[in-house]
Amino acid sequence: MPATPSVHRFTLAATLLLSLAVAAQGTSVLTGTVVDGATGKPVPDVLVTVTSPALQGEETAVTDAEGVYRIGQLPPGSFTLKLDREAYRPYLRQDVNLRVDRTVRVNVQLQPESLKAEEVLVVGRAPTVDVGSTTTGLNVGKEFVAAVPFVQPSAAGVRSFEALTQVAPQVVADQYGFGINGTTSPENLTLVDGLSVTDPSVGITGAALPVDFVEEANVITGGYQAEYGRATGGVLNVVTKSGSNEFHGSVFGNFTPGLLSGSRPEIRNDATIFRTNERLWNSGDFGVELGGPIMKDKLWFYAGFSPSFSRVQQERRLYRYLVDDMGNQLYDELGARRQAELPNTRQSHFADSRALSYIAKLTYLINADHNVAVSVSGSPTTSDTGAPFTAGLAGTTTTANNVDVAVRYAGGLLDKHLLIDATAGWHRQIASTLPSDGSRIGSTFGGAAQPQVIFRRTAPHSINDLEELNPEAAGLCDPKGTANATLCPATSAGREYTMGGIGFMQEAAIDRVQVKGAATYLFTALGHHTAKAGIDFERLQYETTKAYSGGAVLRESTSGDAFRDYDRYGYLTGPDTFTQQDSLHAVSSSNGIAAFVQDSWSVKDLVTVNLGLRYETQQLFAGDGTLGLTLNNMLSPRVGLIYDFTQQGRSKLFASYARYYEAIPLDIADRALTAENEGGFYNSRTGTPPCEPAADLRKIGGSCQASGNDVALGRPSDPSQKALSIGQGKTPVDPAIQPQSTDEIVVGGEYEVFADARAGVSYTRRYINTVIEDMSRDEGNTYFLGNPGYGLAKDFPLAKRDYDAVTVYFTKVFAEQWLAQVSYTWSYLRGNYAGLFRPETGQLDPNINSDFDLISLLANREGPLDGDRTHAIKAYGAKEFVLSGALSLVVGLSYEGRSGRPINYLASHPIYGENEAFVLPRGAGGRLPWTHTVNGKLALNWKATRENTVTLTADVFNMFNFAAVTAVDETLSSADLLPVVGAGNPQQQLCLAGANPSCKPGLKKFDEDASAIVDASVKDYNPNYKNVTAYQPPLTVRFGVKVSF
Amino acid sequence: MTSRLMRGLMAAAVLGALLGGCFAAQPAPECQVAAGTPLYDTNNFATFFTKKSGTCAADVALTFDEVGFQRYQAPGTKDVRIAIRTARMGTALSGERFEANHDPANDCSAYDEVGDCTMCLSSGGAGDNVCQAVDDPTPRVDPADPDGKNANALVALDLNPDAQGVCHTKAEATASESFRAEVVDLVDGGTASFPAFTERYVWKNVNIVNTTSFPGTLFTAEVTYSLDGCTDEYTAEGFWPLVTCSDDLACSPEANVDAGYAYGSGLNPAFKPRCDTTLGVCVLGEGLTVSSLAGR
Repeated sequence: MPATPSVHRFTLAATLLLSLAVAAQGTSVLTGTVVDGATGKPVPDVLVTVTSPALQGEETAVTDAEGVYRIGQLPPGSFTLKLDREAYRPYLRQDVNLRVDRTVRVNVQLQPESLKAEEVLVVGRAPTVDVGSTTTGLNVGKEFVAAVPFVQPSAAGVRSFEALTQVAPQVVADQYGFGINGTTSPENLTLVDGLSVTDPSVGITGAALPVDFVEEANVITGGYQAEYGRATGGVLNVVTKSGSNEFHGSVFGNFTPGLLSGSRPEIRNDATIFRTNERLWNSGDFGVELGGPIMKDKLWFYAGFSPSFSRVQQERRLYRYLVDDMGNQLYDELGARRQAELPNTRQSHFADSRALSYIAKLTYLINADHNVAVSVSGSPTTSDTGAPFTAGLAGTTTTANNVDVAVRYAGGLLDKHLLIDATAGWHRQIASTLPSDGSRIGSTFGGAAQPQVIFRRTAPHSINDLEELNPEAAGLCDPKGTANATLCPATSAGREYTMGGIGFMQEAAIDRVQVKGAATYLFTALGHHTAKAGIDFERLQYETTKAYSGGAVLRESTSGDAFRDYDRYGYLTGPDTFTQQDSLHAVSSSNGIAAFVQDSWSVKDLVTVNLGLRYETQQLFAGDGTLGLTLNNMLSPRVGLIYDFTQQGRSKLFASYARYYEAIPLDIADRALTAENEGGFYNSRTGTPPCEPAADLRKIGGSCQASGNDVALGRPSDPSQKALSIGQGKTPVDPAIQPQSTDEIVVGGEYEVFADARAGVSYTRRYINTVIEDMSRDEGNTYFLGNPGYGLAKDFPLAKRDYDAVTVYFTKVFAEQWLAQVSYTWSYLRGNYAGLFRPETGQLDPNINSDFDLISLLANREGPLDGDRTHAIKAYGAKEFVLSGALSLVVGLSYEGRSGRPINYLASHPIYGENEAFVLPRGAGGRLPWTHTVNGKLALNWKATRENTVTLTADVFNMFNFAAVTAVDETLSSADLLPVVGAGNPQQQLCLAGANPSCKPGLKKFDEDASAIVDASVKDYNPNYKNVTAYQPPLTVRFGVKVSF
Repeated sequence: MTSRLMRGLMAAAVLGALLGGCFAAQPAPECQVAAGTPLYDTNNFATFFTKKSGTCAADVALTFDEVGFQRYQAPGTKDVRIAIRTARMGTALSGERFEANHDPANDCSAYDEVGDCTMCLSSGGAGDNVCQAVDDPTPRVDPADPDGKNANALVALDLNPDAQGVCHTKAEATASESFRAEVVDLVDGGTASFPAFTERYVWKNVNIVNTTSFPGTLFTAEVTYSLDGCTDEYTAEGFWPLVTCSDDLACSPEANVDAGYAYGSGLNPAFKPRCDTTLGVCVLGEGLTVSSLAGR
């Protein structure tokens, strides 16, 4: 469906995770083989004990007949391993680092007591290669976050865990988050303490928590087992901190002063008289976190609280075009129209956003075999977009209140051979887009009661028609009422001027209730098996109340003779009998069930084979409760092979194949599967009484909507002559529709080059199988949901998205006072489908955006997709310098370099409008330049007492204030240019590349009524094409203080 | 809200346990009917009438007309109604149809460029239609129905299609107007008078196809048409939308850029449309009828 105003933006979900996590709540595994140091034979019945500050009590295991031990369900942290057996010397190994969801192998040689001679020294460190899985991605732990500068001040000042995703290779930032392996950000799964916090309505991350509350995050980019599903992108698995047997906590504060920001060149666009820019004024946060025992080894707590804010200054300037004495436009040396600022017309104001992040957790150890955890977390956020600079009405405030509540249970039976995990949780988001003055949907006062008025006459309005300027400025512009303004045109082709109310308003309540359980069984049969099976129920609900401010949107016709008024919610009960609804209320929902079986089989301890199968179904229900779409029998196989050629946990060669299915977010159920009742009337500009929206905004409701002003535009066979209904009925579904899925192949190798450091290389290939989209075979007259290229949509081209990437990487964990992480990725992303949002327009309507809507829209759509970055380098490092007994300095550096994304030639489509037609193949416009970002960090640690440390930090983002161009104007024309089929000849490309206004590359366009093809004229080209529209964010400095105890 | 969630979760559990979406089929479409709008420049149904019996003269028989449908349903209710209106009756109300006895076989083509000729006046026998200019088009008026509401035939419709994908009307529907006589002033002097007449359509057994391929874009019906004293019985078949044409390319569902067609006609490719140059309208492909398409 075409893009409309109701696009999701700030749906930060506060996830109240009530996860009651008590004791050993984890998913990591320690395993290994114990052999006799003298004979080399495996030693059975060895008692293996692991302890850790992250563990309540201790965990034990006993080696089996083949000397193998396995301890699972461990939380991430630093462990001490102790092995005891009669007739052998006890063995102790400390600092075994376990990361989230990892399997680490520690093989031990026990020395018989009888063996005399020297002490056997423990040489080397515990290995870090994860030998149990084929997953790609990386772990980001506390030390990394504390030492390396990369978490920028984000929305509302929350330094959220989502930023941790960008550190992994094969991850590209996109408009709504981070796209993994060539996919878009709404395709990812975000888990916090095991529960999904993905926004159920559009699929982006629905929660935010400061990184100070996070223990560790595992960015899984691919190769993952059947226990993870409902994502065609990657998985971000976040584990929050828990209490411990000692009281630990911190008080922290951060501040980013806007004064120390770098400057940016002004972005010019001579196609408009308005220039707006935005700069950070300041942002900051403050927080407290504390964890400790309520009962030692029995009941722990952890709590955190952190308010944060961000203030941005918005400024608008007004310009006029400069003409000579004869009235001809003056141009500068670059061919742009000359402009001069109008005197005393600068306006600026602040836009603020605030958040309050919190978390509270209790961990309870029932006994050595069972534990329970409960947690609550949230991050309610309010954002002002700032009052509009036009007629002083309210601006827009977006709020997002989220709550996550979860209960988790972990237990072991049969001597820990059978492990059970069960989790139940509720994720709730309350999001609204409302006027800033406090009025709400249904209010009869304030911004919610004012209709929005859009001026868009093709012959431009003078600014004097729409605003009251000071006399000097007003005198320099065309007088009020000018039929075709040239000095200060406030509207023009493709540019609208909006005043009045905020237009579309929405209040939404979005819920996910999730219950899941899994059982892990360890057994031996031709090797060691770790078999796991689980089941997962998920119910999503999306309740929306939508309204238009003032009940209507008045849209000027291009000729200026009337205001169209058909964005009202309401329905017809008979011919010309329109019943207006103040708001539209719908509750759409979805039920999802998943079950999986997987086995990690260590074949004779030589090779590990991972086999898994996941089964999913999803049913989506429309706003009236009827079934809208059913996705059946989604079977995803996962196969992996791992070979450790050192047999010591120090290397691996791996290969995997996986199929991933998409869980469709509820936006489709709300917008396509539910009938949206919209309609209205035609209003005439002149009538009795006259309708002049600009004259007095308070009268908009009255005069323009008086029934005497309705124009009968119905034709003889139209049952309604003055009213119209444009709401779509429910979109029908192709009976043979298939679910959306992507396949993946990964091949790679990893080797521990020296203690705590590993290097590796991997190749990933991802390709899409089928896509679900809404399509029309009759040029937009009727739509249906189906798969392009299959079934009813056989005559549509197949959806394509092919991703190939090779990554070379090196990782060293923080040990011996330094850490490093470097990766280089070469990748190739080609296709005609970007994913669940459209990068060209920003439309976020998963599976119902304007991709594939009409066959005539699809010319030239294949090529390098928006997320294609041929080269990407990510390098992070930190080193600690000990200055004295109590003082140390940590220096951190990060560098991210990326080659640029493709540039398109976009024009208007006769039916779908702006930027929907590709004149030349996707990406034919070349590439944006490389972007380099260098961040630096200094942290001064002062151990004030044995328990307390004071840390002062300074982070500098974009240290050299690089101002790489990150976006250019890709609108070649607002006219309906004909797509050039067959790559365009080189002369055309050259001509367009130069964007020379007098160049005639021979492009053609459709004329006004799309009935004839004519040559495009110089006037049709956007003079701003390929001019800069955005730069890389400027240098910012953040100061921080932290007292840890 | 919470209890609804909990109930929903239990329902999910039960549903999951029983069928688990293994065997669920996609939902059938609702009963919709396609409608054109001046907003998007789309017309209504192209409708063909076949006379079965009747007493009316040949020159007033129904053959082809544009028929408009509109669907009404208050949210939260299950009552669906539709309105049916023909262009023939609509043009009388809009002032575009003056001569009730006008022989459609005659070519009233004497319109000058300025468009002053707004009326086609028959002053005698067939073949002598003469163009006359009037000051303003004169809408016909039924004194008992000044707003023209009775030009719409209103009737209840099924909420969901039957197993064959067809939606049925639940009763007969009548559109009826008794227009009074009119006398109009001609620009060239003099007047022309038009007698009063009564026109009525009775729609029976209106069947609207609602499948994913044809979402309310095909219909069949039985129509009883009366004009003053005579009555005819017809079967009607229609598809949506009506597209005017001068050649087959104009009817093609695909764009044909070389021939100047920026986008396709908007007709369903399954119609295999071609141009009926006499009518100037796109019709179904050779050998296809609404019934045969609906049967699929």
